[in-house]
Amino acid sequence: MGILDLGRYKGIVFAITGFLVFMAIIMAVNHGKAGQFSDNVAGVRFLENRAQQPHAVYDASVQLAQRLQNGEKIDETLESLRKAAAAFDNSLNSLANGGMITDSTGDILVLPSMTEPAAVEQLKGASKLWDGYKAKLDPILRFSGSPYVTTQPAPAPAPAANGKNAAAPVAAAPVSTVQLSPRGRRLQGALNDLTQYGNTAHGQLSTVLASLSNQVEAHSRKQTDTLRYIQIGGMVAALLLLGAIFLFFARNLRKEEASSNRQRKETQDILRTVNEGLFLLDKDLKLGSERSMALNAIFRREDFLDLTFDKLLKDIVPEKTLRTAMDYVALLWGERVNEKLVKTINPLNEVEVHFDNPAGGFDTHFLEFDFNRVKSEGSLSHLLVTVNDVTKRVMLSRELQESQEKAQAQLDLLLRILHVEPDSLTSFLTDADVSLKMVNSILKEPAREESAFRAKIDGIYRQVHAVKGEAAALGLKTVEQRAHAFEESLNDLKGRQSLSGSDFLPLVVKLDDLFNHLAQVREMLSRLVDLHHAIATKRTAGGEVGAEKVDQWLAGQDQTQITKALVAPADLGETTGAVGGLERTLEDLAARVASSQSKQVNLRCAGLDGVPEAYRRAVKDITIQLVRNAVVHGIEEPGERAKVNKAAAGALAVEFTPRGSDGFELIVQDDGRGLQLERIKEVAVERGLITPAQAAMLDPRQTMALIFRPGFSTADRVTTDAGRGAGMDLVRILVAELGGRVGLASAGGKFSKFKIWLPATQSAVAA
Amino acid sequence: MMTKVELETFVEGTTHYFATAANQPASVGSPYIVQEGKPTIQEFTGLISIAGKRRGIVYFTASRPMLTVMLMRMGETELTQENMCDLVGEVANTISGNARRDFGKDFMISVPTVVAGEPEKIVTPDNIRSFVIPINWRSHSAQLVVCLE
Repeated sequence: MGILDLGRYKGIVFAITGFLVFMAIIMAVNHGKAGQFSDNVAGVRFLENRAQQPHAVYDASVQLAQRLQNGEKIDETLESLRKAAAAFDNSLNSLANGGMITDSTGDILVLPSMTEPAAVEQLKGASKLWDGYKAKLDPILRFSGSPYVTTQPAPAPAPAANGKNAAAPVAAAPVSTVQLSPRGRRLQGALNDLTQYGNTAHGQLSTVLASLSNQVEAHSRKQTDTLRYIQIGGMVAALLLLGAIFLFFARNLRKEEASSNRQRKETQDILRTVNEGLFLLDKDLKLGSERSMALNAIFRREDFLDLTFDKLLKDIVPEKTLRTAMDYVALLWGERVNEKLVKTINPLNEVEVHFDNPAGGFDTHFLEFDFNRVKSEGSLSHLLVTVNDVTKRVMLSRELQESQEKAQAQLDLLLRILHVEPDSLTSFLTDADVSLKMVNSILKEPAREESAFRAKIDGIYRQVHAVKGEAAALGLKTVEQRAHAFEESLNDLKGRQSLSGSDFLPLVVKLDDLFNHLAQVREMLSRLVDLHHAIATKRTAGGEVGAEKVDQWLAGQDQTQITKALVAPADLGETTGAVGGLERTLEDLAARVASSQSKQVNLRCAGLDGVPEAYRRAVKDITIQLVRNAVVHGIEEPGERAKVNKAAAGALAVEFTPRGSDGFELIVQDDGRGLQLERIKEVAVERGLITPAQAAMLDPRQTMALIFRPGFSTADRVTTDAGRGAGMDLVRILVAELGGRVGLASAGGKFSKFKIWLPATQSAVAA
Repeated sequence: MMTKVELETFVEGTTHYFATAANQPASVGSPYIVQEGKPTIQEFTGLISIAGKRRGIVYFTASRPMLTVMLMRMGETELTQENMCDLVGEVANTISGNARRDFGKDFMISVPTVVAGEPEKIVTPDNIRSFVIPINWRSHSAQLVVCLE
């Protein structure tokens, strides 16, 4: 701001300057007048003093006459007369000449009042009178020498100059002895004329001077009055001016205050109403005193006094976010910062904050911070921070993203399960759910000792293996892989020297994963079945499939529960029941495993539709294991089969036959290489199931029984199809649980035949 | 998806407390999942809430007899409800400290709260299964429950 750039203070500066100038003028006038006042006083004194001079002239002339008459020396008296006459003449001339006088210090003063007409007139009269006086005085003053006859005795010593004192000696002198010379007589005559004239004139002159003195005094009084009026006028004017200034500024102040109040109210209204949280941050990162009310709601606090930005965020964001935020804000304070560029890297653009919930836990919100650099006089003074609660927007966006990701995942899943018969899938899901719950139940059984933990492993293994087997049979690769990973964890636990609950933590994590994944499959199946249902309904009605329905399904809006799917098969017209599903499952399994093993196989199923409900699950698990085993271990590759004159495709038969009161018979037979007893013994020894000595003593039947031992497998490596030796163990256990028996017949290079007897059940008999 | 490491962190926090404060290590029981309904809640529960990368609650719940023995082992003569609350609160605090150390800066972990009885006060997130890890100490069994999204 320049010195003359007074801004809003211009008015008051001008007004005060004007006032001071006015006061200076008043004081100058006052001073001038006061100066004249002292001149007048000097003038009055001067005139009063000069009023005595005519008397002095007269007295001197009288005294001179007296001395002359007495024959005394007159020189001194004459000289006094001269001086008195000259002084009065000088004074009168000065007064007549523009009123000039000489004060006691010798300074020449001018009495303006002497130029007034009345004074001039009086002075003229006085001058005229004095001129007459002077005419009479002139011969006397020009006298020199002695007025006496020279023969006369020397006069007596001169008395004092005082005329009064001189009168006595004059009177005492002997008159008869005075003898005047002719000049003396002329002098005496002149003196007589003078005293006669002076007798009246000196009084008149004194009166004139006294009158002039009075005039000067009157003039002085007048000036004093003028001065008083000027002072009073000045004071009144000053007061009026002050009053005007005061009123002017009071009005201006009021206006400014009103304007300021209005602006403040507008600002407050804005800050109270605006939805954004607004505040300023200073260089110390302290929040400013003005902020929007929305900030209270956004940050769930009322007190922002002396709060710094880091304290504002500290309790609601993770430490890492806080550090990033503080670094970013520090960056914004740099002078050479490209604000637009820096804004693009704002880490607080969408920050997740957590507020303590009084009921416990956190309330999570998303806040959007925007920073604007506020410049004042060319330098950065504040940061304007705008905060928005964008929770809804972020949640919607995230939901949309999750929904898209889920839709993508579901599409992938859908493509995987599309080829699976819904009934088979439903059946699998139900069974898998039971299996996994069983796994959870096994886990839940209290265990403290290592043996208790170890006992859990086999039970869990069987359940997971069953899930894996069926998933593989249905071609549900994602489920199969998860179950396989679960098995690997179990295998890892089996090999450990000691076991505790901590070792089981990976299992619950994998179990959780399997539960979640199956839930997704179930959801997809639900939609799939619903779509099938919709299509079938449309077909029945002879119309086209409603595109809307398909869209709804794809969007996941029409989520028919899986229970609905279970009652739907009758409408599908593609399957006859769960066991029909099993037949297809086995065919798919055989084909898929054969394909993965580069083999060919023809599967023939018979009687599976007659499996009683009580055995449905077990028969499914058993046949899945046996069919897979047959393809992996029994059926040879086409080339090998050709060498022994077998058809390229292996023959595999699954037959389920009711035997009345004897129960049921399940036969799984293949025309493959049969059981290789020596290989079985070798593997059993390798895996530590038996010792070489025990192997040597085993008969064929006992050797074949080895394949039912847990952990036995002749597969060279572990794959999802074979390798851990759990499958036959599962078959043995399932059969044993049902109270049945397993028979095994095999001829090397010709066939293998598993014959399973299952007891009659109440429901089976009834059927 | 919950990871093994995350579960281990909570379990270690709990067992660490027993090993150091209760002067006798605890063993971890067989963990399991609770899918529906509420997991076990015993008489005293110390709870922490977690937000950030994961959200939900983790709590340690124990019975009065177990806490009584623990207090006695720790040389505490006043077997009051207040001390038992403090005890489960301390366990929760240790779990919280362990979690802070292991999970880094991406997590927000609340200060522990203690609930004596009143299982309705413990609110688990909807539709989220809980992992229950039994913590066996002497003849007693407490539970560590992890319920995170």
